[in-house]
Formats: sequence, structure tokens, C-alpha cells
Amino acid sequence: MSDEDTGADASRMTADESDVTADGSGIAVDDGVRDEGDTGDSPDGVDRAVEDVTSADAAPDPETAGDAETDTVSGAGVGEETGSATTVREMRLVSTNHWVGIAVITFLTAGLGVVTRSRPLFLAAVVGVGYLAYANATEAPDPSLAVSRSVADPDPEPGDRVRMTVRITNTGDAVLPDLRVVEQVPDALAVVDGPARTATALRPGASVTFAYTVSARRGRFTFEGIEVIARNVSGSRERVLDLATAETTLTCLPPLDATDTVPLQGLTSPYTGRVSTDSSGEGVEFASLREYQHGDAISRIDWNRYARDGALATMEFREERMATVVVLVDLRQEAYLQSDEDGPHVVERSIDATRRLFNSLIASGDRVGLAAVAPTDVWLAPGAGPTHQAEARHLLATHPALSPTPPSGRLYVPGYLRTLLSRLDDDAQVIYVSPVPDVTSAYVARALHVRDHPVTILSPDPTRTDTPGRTLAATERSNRLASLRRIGVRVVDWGSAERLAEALERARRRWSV
Amino acid sequence: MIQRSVAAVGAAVALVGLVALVVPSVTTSLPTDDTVVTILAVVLLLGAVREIHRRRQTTFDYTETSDTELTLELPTPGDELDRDLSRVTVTRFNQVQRQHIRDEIRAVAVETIERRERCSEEVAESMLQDGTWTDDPFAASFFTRRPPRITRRKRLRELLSSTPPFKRRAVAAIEAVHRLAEGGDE
Repeated sequence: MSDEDTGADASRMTADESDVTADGSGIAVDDGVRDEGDTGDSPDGVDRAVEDVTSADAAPDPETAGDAETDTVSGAGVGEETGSATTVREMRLVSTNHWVGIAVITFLTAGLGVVTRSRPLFLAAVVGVGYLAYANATEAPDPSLAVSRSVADPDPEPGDRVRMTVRITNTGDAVLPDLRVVEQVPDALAVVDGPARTATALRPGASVTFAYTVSARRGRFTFEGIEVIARNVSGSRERVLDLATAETTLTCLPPLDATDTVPLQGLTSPYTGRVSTDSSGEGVEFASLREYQHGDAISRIDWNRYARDGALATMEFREERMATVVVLVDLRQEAYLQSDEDGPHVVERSIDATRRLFNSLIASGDRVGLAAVAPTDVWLAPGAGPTHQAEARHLLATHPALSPTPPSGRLYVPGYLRTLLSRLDDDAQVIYVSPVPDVTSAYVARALHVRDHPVTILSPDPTRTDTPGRTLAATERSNRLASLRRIGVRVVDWGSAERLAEALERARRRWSV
Repeated sequence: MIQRSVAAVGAAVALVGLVALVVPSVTTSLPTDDTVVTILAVVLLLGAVREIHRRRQTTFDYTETSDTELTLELPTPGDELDRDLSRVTVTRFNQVQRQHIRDEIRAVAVETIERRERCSEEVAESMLQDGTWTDDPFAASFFTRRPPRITRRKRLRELLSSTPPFKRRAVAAIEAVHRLAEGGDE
């Protein structure tokens, strides 16, 4: 679904809500539908809705469901009351075993009645027969539902609480005596208020609304389904459905902020920038003095020395150049780890760090690119300027590979490395953001390092030392980082309780010694 | 289909019963001697027993709804080893499993000794074999596979403890390796 679609969808739903709450006209129609005696003013609308649902059911394509929705809206505006039709993705019909064994009443009373030759006792078996009939006479209904979902703010800031309202309408002509609906909240989003589910009975045309609040986090999330359980009156049979609904998206872009200075290594491009080099020339930091040569700028002549002994000498400064940096994020399945029960997991921290690094490098005039070791290709060639920065911001927030949930696919790392190396400029250095969870991540760092791309690893620490197994894993990772340091890879070990700026500052002090 | 026909038979019998209320002569041809009635009683009571048994054999099978409100749980490195260690008990002895745990800890131990003692892999291996890499007798005995050099009282306490000696030594070894790794900056 494109952006425009989502926007239109959301505004339509908001309009729907204001309708219902503000002037009560929505409720009036709703009541008409609910009141089975008073069918005079609204059956037209209900019929339309039912027709639309049937047409959508016939074609399992969700596109068609979308079309049906637009038809309804353009037609009589009834769609605003009933929501959009749903398509069945999966259905199961099961027995709950709720009434298994109820026949014991019949058998026992009848049996005892016969043994004792008691007619009343024998006749009491009829009660059991009644229960048996109640339990087994009906089948779980096949619900036909329309769902409308509205989101209070489709573009929240990270950490915002977003209210979601879901409205379920029974568009079929059967009563649903026991309906349970569970919203399929995207895995990465936590519901912070109200259960995202409801249980009710629905007559034909009646609706139920429930609301819950999610805590927004970076990324684009799509709400596109509900889980439905419909039982018969006695609860002996149930139908379990996975329904696809119209999509509602929540896009959360992290803010542009944070300029933690990133310590970079020496490899630079020929352009003026921020990274001090060993070559002397123009700059601000004094490097050396040399004998004056004809043509040297007068401003660089050391006049103090001339005053002292009459010899002309030229001051040289450290040249400061621009660096080309590619921030490489580890997004393999193995990198999806968590060190605290609450708090962001390692990949969330990695992506957040990537964003900060990117912004601060761009702000200091370096050319920065983005890449990810992930089953899905992520590549933003190094560049500079506001457009590039906006592009990166969007990529970091919404690229499907940068999802807060682990990818399903696996990556052939040597193949990926070949692709990456062919993309990297000769003078590019790499900041590799990875928890270094296994030997493969160390291999990536080593491979880049030996091909003369200086590597700085920023490693969010996924380990803890509260149990023996975790302690061993922490030791193993510490050894791995040590072996990388030995070959000249710079490593910033970023503890889970530490701020990124602190970790970078600690590393800078260590390196400048 | 079978259910339908059984239900139909039941309905027919019920109808006969209702008719018998008005015209009792309908049922006079049915046998009513004690043997038949006793057999009927036994069949009905057996039916009751069978139903009770069936109930006890079946569990409720309501569909569980997913925990949609919770976010995805991700592992912390080392959880797998913790799970393996928790499976080690005094009574259940699984040599393969224990060897697997031992190998895993040994690999990290060798690496750590190499890093800290700045020695070769062979030297590190032999230090593990001799138990000279640590002061902790339990940790040392995990790799030497000899009883730890401790007083008899401590040994007795180890044997009486509810923790299996293997597990206790494994945990001691992990802690010793961790101490060694944390032992100072490079």
C-alpha cells in the first residue's frame, strides 16, 4: 500500500470516528441496523455492505477487498459505518471437547432407574438428553465481518503512545453468539494500555469497538489482520479464522539529532575535511618547520624565527581531510539478541547508533554511506548534503531489512563481502556496527581490514554475566574482540547501560594514548 | 451421517414412548422379565462408566489466542548452555551431553589462557590438563577429570550437595575463565 492510500484511509477513519462521537448520526444508523424490528430506513445500506463482502469473499485477492471498500464509500457512505471487508487467510473448525462426557447424566440416571425400578429416576434421564441436544445440535457459525481500524496518529515520534481503535461489524446474516477477536499487533510493537482484543456476541449488522494503545518505535508497521474465534451457543465447536483486513500503517521516523563526535581512522579522501592526517600542508594544527622555498605564502613564514636569526622558515600544518565512511550494520539473524528483558534489543541499539554516527559524520563534512550485512540488500552509496541525509533517515526508519524482528532468510557472507568490497571506494573506511555474536562477524571485520579498509567496530554488548552460560558467552565475546584488537581493528565495546557518547569518548581516550 | 441415523432411531423410540403414554398396550409385547431388565441396567451403567472414562481421557481444546500485546522475545547469548546445564542431573547421566558442555567450555578456556598468558595453544591445552591455570580446585578438576584437591569435609559436602558435581565444577570453571579474562587490560 502506498503512502497516499494510507493517508486517505486514516483520514477516512478519523472522519468516521468524529461522525460517531460528535453528532450521533453514526450511532443513529447503527441503532437502526441493530434494531431488527425497525428495518425500514436502513436495510438498503446493510444489503450493500453484505454484497460487497460477498464479492470480496469470492475473490481471495486482497486488492479486490480494497476495491470493494472504495465502492462502498463512494456509494452511500455506509462503508464508513461497516468498515472494509475482510478476506479469510486461514480457517480451522475444531471441537472444544467442552461437553464430552455429558451423556453420563443420561446413562447414570437411566441405569439407576432401571436397577431400582424407579420411574421418576428413569425419566430424569431426559434432562441429560436435553443437554446432549444442546451441546451437539448447532455448528460454529461462519462469521462474515467488516473491520475498520483507525489510528490516532499515523506518524508518531518514537516513544509516543498511539491509540488504535478497531471496529468490528457483523455483515453476515447469522447471529454470532460467542465471538472473540484478537488484533494482530506487529511483533515489534508493545501494547501499553488495554488488551488488543475483545469478546462479545454480535447480531447481524451490529458492531463492537475496542481500543488499545501501542508504544511507537522506529520503523514502519503494518496492521493487516485479526484473529477471530467464533463459537456456537454451547461452546462445543469453534471456528478459528485468520482474517486479512485493510492495511493501516504506522510510520515512525526518528528525529534528526545527536552529534557525538566519532573518532575516525587515518585513511582519507583528497578533499578538505575534519580528519587530521600525517601529511603536512594547510590546516590548523602545527606540524613542522621547513626551509622557506620561493613561492610559499607569506602568512606561513615563521616571523619569530626570522627575527631571531634572520633565516626564513615556513610553518607546516597537519592537513585535515574529508573521510569516506561506510557504516555497516550487522542485521543477520544471529545479531538479534537482547541483554535486558526490557529496554531496546541489540539491533535497535545498532540502528540507533548507526543513525547517530551517520548524522554526526555528515555534520562534520565527511562522505557517509550505509550498508547492512543482511539477507535483504541495503546500500546507500557514500554522499553528503541534506538530500543524502534525508534519504538515509528514511532508509534507516523504514527499510524492511532494518526491521526490529529477525529476518527469516540466511545470508551467504563470503558472497556478500565480495559485493560490498566491489562497492567500497578505495579510500573508504568502515564503521562496523555489530554485537560480534559469532566468528562470522569477526570474519567480516577481518576481511575488510586486510583489504586496506580501516575498520572500527562499534559493538553494542549483548551479553550478561548473571548465569554460567551467559558468563561463558561474555568471555567468548571478550576474547573475540581482543583478537580483533590485536590485528589492528579498533573496537568500541558499548555496554548496555552506557550512552553511546560515553562509549565513544572512552574509546577515543584509549586510542589517543 | 451415523449421528443423524442414530438421532433418527432415538426420535422414533421417543415417539413410541409417547404413544405408550396414551396407549399402554403398545409396549406389552416388549420383554420385561428380570434378566432383560438387569442386562439393560448393566449396559446403561457400563455406558456411564465409559462416558466418565472418556471425559477423563479428553482435555479441553479451546484455541489459545496469541499474546499479541507482547513484543518478541530475543535470546541472550549463552542461554543455550544454561539450558544444557540445567538438564544435567545426578540421576540422568548423558555422556555425550556432558562431553558437549565440556568441549564448549574448554574452547573458551584455551582461548582465554592463550590471550592472558600469551602462550601457544599447545601450552594452554597442557595447562588445562595439569590444572595449573587456576587456583580454584573445582575449576581445575573440571578439565583434569581428577577429584579436586580439597579437604575431606569439603569433598563430603560436595557429594551430599543437591548440585551434581559435574555441574558445580562446570560453573566453577566458567567463573574461573571469566575471572582470568577480566584479569587486566592488554
